Amino acid sequence: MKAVAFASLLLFGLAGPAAAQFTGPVAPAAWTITNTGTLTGGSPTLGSATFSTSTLALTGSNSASPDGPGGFSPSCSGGFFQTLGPCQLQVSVNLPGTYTFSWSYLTSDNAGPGGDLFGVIVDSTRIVLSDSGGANAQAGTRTFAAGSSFGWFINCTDCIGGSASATISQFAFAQAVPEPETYALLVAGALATAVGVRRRRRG
Amino acid sequence: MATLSPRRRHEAATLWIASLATAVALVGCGGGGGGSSSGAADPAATVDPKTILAGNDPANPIQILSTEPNLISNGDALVSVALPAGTAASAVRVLAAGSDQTSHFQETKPGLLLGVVNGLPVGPSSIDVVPAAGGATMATVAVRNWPIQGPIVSGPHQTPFFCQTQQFLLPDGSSLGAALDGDCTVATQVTYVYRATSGGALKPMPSTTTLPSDVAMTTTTAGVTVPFVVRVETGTVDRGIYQSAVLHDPTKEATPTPLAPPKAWNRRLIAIEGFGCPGGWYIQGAAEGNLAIAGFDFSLLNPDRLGEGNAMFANTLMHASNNCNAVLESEAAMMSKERFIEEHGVPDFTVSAGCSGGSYGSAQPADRIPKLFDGVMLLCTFPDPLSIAFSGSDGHLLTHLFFATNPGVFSDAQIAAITGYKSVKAFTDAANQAGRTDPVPNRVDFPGYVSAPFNAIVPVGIRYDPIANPTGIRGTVYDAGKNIYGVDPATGFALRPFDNVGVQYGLDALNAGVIDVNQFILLNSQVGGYDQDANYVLGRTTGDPGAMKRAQQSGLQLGGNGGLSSIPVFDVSGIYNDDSGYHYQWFHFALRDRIAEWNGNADNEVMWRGNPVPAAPAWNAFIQWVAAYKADTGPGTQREKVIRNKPVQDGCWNGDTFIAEPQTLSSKPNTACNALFPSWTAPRLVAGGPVAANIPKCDLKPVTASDYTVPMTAQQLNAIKRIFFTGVCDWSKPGNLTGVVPNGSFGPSPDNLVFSLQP
Repeated sequence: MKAVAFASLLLFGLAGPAAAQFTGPVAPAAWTITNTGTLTGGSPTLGSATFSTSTLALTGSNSASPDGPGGFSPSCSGGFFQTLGPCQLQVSVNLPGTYTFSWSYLTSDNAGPGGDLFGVIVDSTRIVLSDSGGANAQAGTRTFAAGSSFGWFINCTDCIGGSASATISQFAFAQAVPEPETYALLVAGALATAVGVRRRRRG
Repeated sequence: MATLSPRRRHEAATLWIASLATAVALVGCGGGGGGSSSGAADPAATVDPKTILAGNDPANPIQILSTEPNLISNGDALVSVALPAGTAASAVRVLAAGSDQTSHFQETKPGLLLGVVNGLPVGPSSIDVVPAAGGATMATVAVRNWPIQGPIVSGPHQTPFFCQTQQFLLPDGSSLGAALDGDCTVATQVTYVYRATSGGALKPMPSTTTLPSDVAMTTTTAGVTVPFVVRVETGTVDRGIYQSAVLHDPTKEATPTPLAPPKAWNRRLIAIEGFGCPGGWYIQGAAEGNLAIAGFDFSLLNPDRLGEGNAMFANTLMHASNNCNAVLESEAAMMSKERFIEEHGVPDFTVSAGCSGGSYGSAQPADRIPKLFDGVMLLCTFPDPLSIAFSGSDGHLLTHLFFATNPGVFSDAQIAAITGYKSVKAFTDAANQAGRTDPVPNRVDFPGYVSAPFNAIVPVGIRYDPIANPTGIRGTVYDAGKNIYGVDPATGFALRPFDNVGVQYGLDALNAGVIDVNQFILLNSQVGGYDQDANYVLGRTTGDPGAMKRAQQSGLQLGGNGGLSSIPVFDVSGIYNDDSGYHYQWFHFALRDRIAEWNGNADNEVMWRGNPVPAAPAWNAFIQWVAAYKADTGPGTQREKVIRNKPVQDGCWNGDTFIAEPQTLSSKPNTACNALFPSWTAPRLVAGGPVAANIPKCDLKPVTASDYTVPMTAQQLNAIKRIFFTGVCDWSKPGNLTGVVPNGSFGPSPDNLVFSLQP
């Protein structure tokens, strides 16, 4: 009976560490913050990310149009309005598992939310969560399962007209559950351990 | 070589000019290559006078009748010499590059010598008339001869180039045989076919010395009744396989010559074109472009046309499925017609007719080379393959957006409204025609899309592949025309003329309230463009300025300002199907509008629509029209003669009933014909572009709120400005509209040289 209880305890532990908020395996130090792409306009402000235990705050990049005040030319090299381009703030972690969070988005872009796209990066694939045709302030709650990595991004598309920010809250992480074959090995190992303990006691 | 100074040449010409006027009238060369131009006021001449080919000097007693003096091929030319009044034929000698060829000439009319000179060397030389008794040269004409395998004006030969003479079947079913050299040359062969009294297709003649017992008789349009026996000549011209066919009785007549043409020939010549462009590159072609469709028969051996006494000619490189480069195609037509004239004499007129690829196969050479054709009849009309490629490329970007990157965002009705087509099916069929611009083999894309089409004879191993064979040959309309578009020195790829900068896709759909502002913004921010490999890219595509300009100068994009300005253009529909298949009605109107744009109106163009249009009335009206204006000796320009001799007007056919009314582009039942044959459009037209679809790159203007009839927020307007940060198309401006350069050369001919890849 004690052996079964031991094995159950072991299995529970192998389901992976669960973390509420940015703690444990998903503590702030585990995340990588990157700005990709090249801003070509004036007064560039690169994107930034700030963690607390309970929240992550992201602010996307922005710059003046190369055409000067009032211009509309992209300031991101290779970037086009409302199109996922190369200029992006991203915060990512290489951990398989399930990520659940609430998000809020607010843009100051003078062309609305199409100018700065917020979303997640699941196993290197970008998924836009903000609605390009929606309101300047948006929010939602989502869950994603990642096989290798996960992150958030704010893509400033053409990177002019004002930046967007996003706040992640209610964050929870559960590491990936092992495959059935892994379970079998673990069960076999647990049983072998239990048998060994029992023999030692009899001996 | 005897030559005259320009001043003495002028004096000699002045002395003879009176007799020349008579002689030219006697020759009656009409549509022949050497006919003097009546087009001093030809609209084509207004494009750029410097580029107009001089051709024959009408004041010169020596006239080259088979082609232009500087475009002679194969060393031979049909020549007329107008003798001074009172001068006996025996008193002059005719020299070709110094060789006495007087014996080739006969005095066919009083004071007029006619004959074929030969042996002209490649390059410049002259034809001279000198006194038989010796003395100063009486007249001379400078000529330039080119090899029979070309090129003359089409630029460097395409390589590789696969000969198909062995696959080419003669009328008796035998093979033309192996090519003799790398230029795919064969020895010319003559075969005879006849029509049996039982009718049906023409049959091989068992003997050329005895007529078959079952040979039918035919009476030509000239009233000559002869056995229905047709001489078919097959050879190679401009690396293509050339054929001509005409009534000729070998049991009674000698080999035809201009001095002894087939007696049943009615002096009318019909060019056979072809069809479908995809895959028309790097090959000679194993068949002519014979096509019978919708009651019309555009075949070399069409018994109806041959029985009327018409002569026919074709070249495999006039068939778009073998050659999708209209500059090469028109060169092949020009050289093939020259061959025909040198062997049969000058026709009263030459016409070209065809469906689909045969429509642009007729219209483009007619526009590029004035005097090549004296009239064109078009079915299943496209102005050019480029209009298919461009509208396909717009559409292909949109299929990617609608079905790959933003599925479900737009309803079927909205997709139809944005693209202009009648339905999603009609749209996707047209969009898939972008495959002919895509060099990447086996691209997996929208169902029905075929990239990098090649004729099966082209080995897969030499074809371009961006990974496996990046230096391979590219199967696209652009690469087939790289002599015109030019080449990117970094890649060796043809430069590309497609451009969609500033194009507001779906503009009319927005203003009509079919899509909302956010959809319009999404559409235009996401539609993107292409790279040189036709891969999707985020940004719009900027076409190469030179390629766009030369596409127009060459006639690869049909102009409407060249030869097409001054000949009958009879568009008789052929296919009516705006549901699928991409032969859509708007193309007919695009061609019409191009003519109208350059000429003030399209009064030399008539459109009949029907499903189908009755073939016999259409053909008869067309020929009547051409014959009438060619016979018009009254005052005025050729265009004026064409218009005043027009026997037919716009209309459509409801079964056997003709409804006479102007044809207009509308999907609404606002006329009797539009109720029967409504027409839809294409993405660039919905974006505000002209129906002519002839502005490769639009002029740009700033985004302004007044362009939109629907309300939008400041943010939305900013979004549009951000998308179109260089501006939106201003279709009220001509953009980079250029028009064709008549007789433009892309080398090696130095005359009217527009561009050459050769140093």
